[in-house]
Amino acid sequence: MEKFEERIYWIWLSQIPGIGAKRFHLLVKQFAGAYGVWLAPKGELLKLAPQLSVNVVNEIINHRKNEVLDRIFQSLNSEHYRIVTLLDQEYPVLLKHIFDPPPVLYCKGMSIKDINPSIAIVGSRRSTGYGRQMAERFGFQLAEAGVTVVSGLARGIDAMSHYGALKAGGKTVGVLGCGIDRVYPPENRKLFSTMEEEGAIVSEYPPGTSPLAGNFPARNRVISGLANGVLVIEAGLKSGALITVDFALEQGRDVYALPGNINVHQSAGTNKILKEGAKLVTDVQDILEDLGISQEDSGDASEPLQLDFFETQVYNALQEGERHLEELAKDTKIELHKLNAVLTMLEVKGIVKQMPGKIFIRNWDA
Amino acid sequence: MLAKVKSAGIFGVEGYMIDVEVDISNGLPVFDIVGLPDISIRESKERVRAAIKNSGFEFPIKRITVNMAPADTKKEGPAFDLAIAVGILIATGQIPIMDNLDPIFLGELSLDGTLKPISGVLPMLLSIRDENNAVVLPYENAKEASNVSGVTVYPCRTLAELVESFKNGSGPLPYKRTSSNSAVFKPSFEDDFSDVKGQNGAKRALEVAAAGGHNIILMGPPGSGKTMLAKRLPTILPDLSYEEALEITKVYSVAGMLKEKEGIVDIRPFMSPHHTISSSALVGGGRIPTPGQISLAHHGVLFLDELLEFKKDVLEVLRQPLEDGEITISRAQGTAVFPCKFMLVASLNPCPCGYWGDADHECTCTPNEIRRYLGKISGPLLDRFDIHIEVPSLSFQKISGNEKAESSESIRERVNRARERQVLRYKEEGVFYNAQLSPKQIRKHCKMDNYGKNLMENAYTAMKLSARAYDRILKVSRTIADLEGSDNIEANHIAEAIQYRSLDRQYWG
Repeated sequence: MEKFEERIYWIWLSQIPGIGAKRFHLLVKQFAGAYGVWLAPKGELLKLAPQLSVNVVNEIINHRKNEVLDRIFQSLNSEHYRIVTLLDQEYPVLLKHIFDPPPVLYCKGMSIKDINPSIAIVGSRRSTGYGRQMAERFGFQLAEAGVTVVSGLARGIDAMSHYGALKAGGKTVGVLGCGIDRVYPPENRKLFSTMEEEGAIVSEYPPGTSPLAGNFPARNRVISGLANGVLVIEAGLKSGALITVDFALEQGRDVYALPGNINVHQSAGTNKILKEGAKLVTDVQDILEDLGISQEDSGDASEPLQLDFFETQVYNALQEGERHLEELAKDTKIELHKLNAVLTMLEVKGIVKQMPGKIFIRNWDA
Repeated sequence: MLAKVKSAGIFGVEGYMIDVEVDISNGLPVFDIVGLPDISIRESKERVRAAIKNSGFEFPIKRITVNMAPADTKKEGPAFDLAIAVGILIATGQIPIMDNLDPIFLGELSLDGTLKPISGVLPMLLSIRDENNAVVLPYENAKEASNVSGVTVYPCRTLAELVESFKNGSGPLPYKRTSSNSAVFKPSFEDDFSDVKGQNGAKRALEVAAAGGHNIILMGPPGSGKTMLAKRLPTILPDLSYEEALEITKVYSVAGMLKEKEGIVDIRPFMSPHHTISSSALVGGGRIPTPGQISLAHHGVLFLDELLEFKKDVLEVLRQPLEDGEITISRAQGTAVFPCKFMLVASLNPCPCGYWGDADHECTCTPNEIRRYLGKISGPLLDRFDIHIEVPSLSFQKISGNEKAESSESIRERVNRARERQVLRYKEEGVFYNAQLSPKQIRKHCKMDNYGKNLMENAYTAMKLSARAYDRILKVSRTIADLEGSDNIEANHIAEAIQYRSLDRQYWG
């Protein structure tokens, strides 16, 4: 059996509806390869019940057609995506050793072979302004330190961490819960195309697969599987990010979490896993030291900020985090019309950012 | 026998003289009114008959013909009852003709002969005071009518009282005003800005808006106090001049919304129509055009709460009157022009659920929903708003502070001063405040120094402001400079104005 041909049958088997990673590995083990499954008599397949139901066996039989193989043959030459199987060199080592690695990955963008060290950044889709900012910040700083940022290309935290990594010009991998040819959520279209060019997009689902809710938990095991550790930015108690944490623990990955406001329910999940022993992260160094990366202290290379008296006052008032306009006025005792002007100046200088709801926050990357 | 008395009618806010001629001749008893009367005038036959009889006079059992000249204009309303009754009484010799007095008779009659107030007295008298300067009208209308200088007002309570005064030769007594007309009204409002705790950012923005006459959008979650703030905006608008008060009163008089004790509307109106309003109720309309909400908000504030809940076509009809300051309504009967110079204040939620950007509630909208929601405001309409600000909800601790809030009066003083500067600067431009400036006038009056220009350019790139914001920021900066008493627009002023362009920021969605 040539390896090339085995690869075709490998892809063939992985695309049969009802065959997930678990059943795939079971079948391949039982019949000594995917070609073995193609050849196996129905009776032998049926012996694998209850893991393999009659319906799935019928699906396998129905897919034993040459045109199915032809289609796969053609897709190997697709200019839109590459197919990386578990048998290939490009398959990421870390992912290979998880309990049920995806047999086939559909990829776009850069090679995913050497993506270590890597950190997965996860969090809820409905995030706070603080969460999104932190996601961007850690995405940026990790990528800047040479760490690949892995996330799920979803709304909120996911998108922001990719943005951060791209901004730093670093490596980043997005793992989809749908086919590689689909853009979901649609508002991330721009991010998708940037990721294709400057990062990588990966999916274990065959092209054309819809973003079904059931796909996402399985996708999360790939996210944690690709990474050396998982950083949770914000997560509610029922967030998918906590599912990723469970996978990470199963896979023996480190779990990091950002402490959050105890009144905000987007932080309830992160605070819970911190109680349970996740490593508390307040600085990117907390993660980098575990990865054995020592960042040369760049010192304060940037020129000192030129701030006048009022600007300094306002900037200092923002030290403890986000502040509302009214709170700033109270803290700094600056009259509102003056305060408005000062804030514009700080915004123009790029060291303060305005969030929806007249909330101001220091811009971390200045 | 023939009798002629004078009366007046109104179309839109313009009044015109009407001659009521009554001819009584022998023949079958008939009562005819000619001269394009509408149904409410034809019904006045019955009121006049009963009122004359019940006041103790004799209603002639003869052929009565009433003509209302000019005969080619349609007439409506019950205001001619009194003129017709007096005409009949003169024609039958029950009232002596007074040579020295030929007043205008206005008033609706009740069946017992009591005079009832009518609407539109003030604009009527303002238009016809050069042709006739004496008017007999119901007592309730006297105060309103006395605002028109050069007109002698003879108020009357009943038809019998009027006839009696003619009979004893003295004629009715002219009305004397108790108070004199002041040039400027110092209004007393029930609401005051000091009622609103916190929200200093929004208050400052409203002060700027009031000082420059800028239309403003308030954006914030439910319960953040948008309505409360908007309702108090009239209390900080510049003092009302007598001319402005008369203009407002005219509209209210035509609409029949003038209260008897007021006589004149002396505070700036605040109109807050519900979002189910139709476009003709908003701008005015009807077979005989009546003023809509925008005209009732003349020289005051039109508040559109939940702007995005209004029907799209209703909002679009606002655009023209916002530019022109008046609304022309054409109907088969003719064309009426109502004034509508108002400040437009709109409130909206930042997203469909209302809590986007709120610290205490979670927003359940997707970015797409938010974008679609805010996209409902059309570009041309959004262009009419110079200022948009966010009104965040403040938690209890933040608003229960003991700091004393500034009163409306002291804010209004600053606004007054800023407006004076503008009136002075634009006295040859045909505009009165900054919001009215045309692009050409902006180039002329809103010059920035190099430092300001620099800041503006940097702000554009740093904050991703949209291009349409440029002129608006300039206008608002001009107002901020005026509030500070500064002739030049400084970088500081521009910097503040930039904070008042929330919807230009691209962090929405």
